[in-house]
Amino acid sequence: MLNPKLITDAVVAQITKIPDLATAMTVLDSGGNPNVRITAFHYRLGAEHRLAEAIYKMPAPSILVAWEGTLGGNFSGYQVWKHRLGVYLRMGNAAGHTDPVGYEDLWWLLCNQAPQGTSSNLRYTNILPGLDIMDTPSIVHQLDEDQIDIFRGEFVIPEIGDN
Amino acid sequence: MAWANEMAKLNAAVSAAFSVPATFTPQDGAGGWLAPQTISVNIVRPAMLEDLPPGFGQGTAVLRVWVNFETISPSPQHGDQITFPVGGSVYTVQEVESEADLTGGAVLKLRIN
Repeated sequence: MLNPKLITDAVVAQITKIPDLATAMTVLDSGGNPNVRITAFHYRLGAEHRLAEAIYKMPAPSILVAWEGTLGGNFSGYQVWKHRLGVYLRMGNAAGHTDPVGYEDLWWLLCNQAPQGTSSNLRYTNILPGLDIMDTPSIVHQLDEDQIDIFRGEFVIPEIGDN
Repeated sequence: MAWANEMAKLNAAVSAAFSVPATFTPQDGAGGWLAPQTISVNIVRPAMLEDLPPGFGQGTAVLRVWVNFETISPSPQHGDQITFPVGGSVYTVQEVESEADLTGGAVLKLRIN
């Protein structure tokens, strides 16, 4: 089985290459340097927040990708592991923007715009050697602790065989 | 009205006693911003407590502040920005919750930019 940490990081790397999505997630830091806010969450007790707090603290705009479990089974004879990743979206402040990017746009970009350097969108990309293309992704609306709209996308990515 | 007058006095007293200054930058309604102004905000307990209080390190990502709403013009609304002098963090107003009993106050839910 592949290490889910590597899969999480690979998904983040691919998402960051989606041009318009990366632009929508880019802010200038205090030094005026662009900062693309697409990050991976890893479970590191003592070094990282718990997942719930990390989602709560997500700045706007930002995307957070977290591994949320692996399903084992004999899915198609050659697939025995399916890795489930949550992709949390928080859109930016639309005030002052003539062409704001909302959740509908972010999800469309995530599903349909090809990462830079590739001709296929993320749904038809082998994100790592040993990984099959993902199952058709889903997204659901959620409310955070402040009753603010956020969305959680779900990528389920099967492995090819048992690596 | 007596009730309104008493609440206005209470709000002014609470604001004077417990508030901190912040810079409020309202939208101009045409995609731009009006001139920043200093307002007084009272920090209240958020939905989830974070590691750091405001002003320490990176501070908090999410804040709730009570404001004497009826004394601020233009009235705060979604998308306005609030900057705190300590650390200079800029927050966006994500939600405005007016107090339902006509007290003249409101809680602003802020998220760091």
